Amino acid sequence: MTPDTLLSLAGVSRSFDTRNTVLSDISFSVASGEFVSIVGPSGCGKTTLLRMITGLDAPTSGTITTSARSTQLLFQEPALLPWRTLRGNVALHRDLASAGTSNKEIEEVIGAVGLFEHRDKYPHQLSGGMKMRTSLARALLTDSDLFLFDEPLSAIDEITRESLQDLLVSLHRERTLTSLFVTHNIAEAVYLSDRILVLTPSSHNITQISHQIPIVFEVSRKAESRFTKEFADFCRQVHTALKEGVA
Amino acid sequence: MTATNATPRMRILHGFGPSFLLFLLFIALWYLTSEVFLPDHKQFLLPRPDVVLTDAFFVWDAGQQRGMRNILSALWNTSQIALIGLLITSVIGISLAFLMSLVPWIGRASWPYLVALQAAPIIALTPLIRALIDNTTSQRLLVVILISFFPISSATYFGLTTVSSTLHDLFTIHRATRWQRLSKLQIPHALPAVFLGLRTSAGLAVVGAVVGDFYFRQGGRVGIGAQIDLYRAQLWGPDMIAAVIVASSLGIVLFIFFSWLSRRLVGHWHKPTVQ
Repeated sequence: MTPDTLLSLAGVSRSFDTRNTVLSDISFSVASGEFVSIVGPSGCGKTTLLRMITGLDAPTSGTITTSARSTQLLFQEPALLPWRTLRGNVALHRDLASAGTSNKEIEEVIGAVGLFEHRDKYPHQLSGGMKMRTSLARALLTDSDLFLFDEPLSAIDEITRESLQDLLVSLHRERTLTSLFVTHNIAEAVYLSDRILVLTPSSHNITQISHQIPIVFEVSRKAESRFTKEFADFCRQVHTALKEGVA
Repeated sequence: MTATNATPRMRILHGFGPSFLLFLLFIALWYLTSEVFLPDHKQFLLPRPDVVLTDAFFVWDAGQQRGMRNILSALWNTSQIALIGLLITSVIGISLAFLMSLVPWIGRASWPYLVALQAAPIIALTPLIRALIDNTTSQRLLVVILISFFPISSATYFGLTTVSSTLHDLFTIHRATRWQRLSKLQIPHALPAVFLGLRTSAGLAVVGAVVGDFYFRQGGRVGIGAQIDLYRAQLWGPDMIAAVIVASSLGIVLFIFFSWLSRRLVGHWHKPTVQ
């Protein structure tokens, strides 16, 4: 593990019983400040991989090493507590860890995700996109330096999804977040990432990393980057890698 | 016009209209049963609604334990038993549910007996209760507890143990302690279910108290169950029907109270599908 490596996986495998291996010999690392996406077909073990990194699940073999202070996982669903207001949900970590987070810091992070005027609303009064922003604000308020995203935008409409992607890009830039982002949306992965890992099931449905594709745009990425030839080329490259892997 | 943009008058009509229509249908059916379906010599069993009003509800004290004064006095006695029983049931039932959720093997061990308790014909146990306990009040309280125990304990247990795995994972990632998981996740999540259990148990506590009145009345003050039994034995139909209605109203009042309390405490975030 090099000094700027925040997360490293070496030969990680996970089987649920002797005949059912889901992930096999997964090895990669994520450098501090890097945004890495993992793409792969549904059910190939992407969520299992994130759960192992957070410690919610354990690998059958291999090692997971991290020098992160703590890790936050954003789930597919926003996972908000319905009895707490938006503000109360964002402040959850402070309440659990008795952290010295000030009210000003809480309001700042709510403002950073664009929900300041909604801070006293309950989850049932928020849209899907607002809920996901709340979940993001809650993660940002912790002292974590490694963020794992488990398809958090998969259930959100296209327009809201694009605005949340823009928010992630700007937060990543401003706060130098280190992120591992799981998605099955190729364009989303290309727009957000510095590097894409392609997970594909090989023989007997055992999933392995088939390709690692660096995403380096000639100019700094912005919303319009989605409509450039360069962007389309990267999407095609990932698409081909996924197809090759599945074949 | 939908309920959301309707005038207040329309909203009231939308809310209470169907119930009021059913009430009118019920009264019509009552008249029909009393006047048409029942033969003349059996009509004393179900006097017409207006006869119940004039001969029982509008009579304060007719002597021989008849009239609203005696019915309300008996109701007060039954209410005390129902409320104390409900309080004991709630404390024991909720405590057991917590224990069952915190210690899985206690949960697994207790659950079949809770189900068996719910299915047991409590009335059949009255001779045993009489043989085991001398005090009439304690006998009546025990019947209330046995009858109302299952809904509150099972609903609380259900509420505590059905938190989504994602929320549990969230608390694990935030390194929550066992106590934090209970106090900040499981208890708030269980509250709507607890109130649902309380509403059901409250109605059953009244049923239990009335049943207790029927079977355990020696030496104690007369409850409304005993009063109903007396009116039945004396063939005082209007008083009997009035006493049954008054006893039912106690259950309804308790149901409304717990519904109100539930709306006050969890209504701002818990929106049941059916209001």
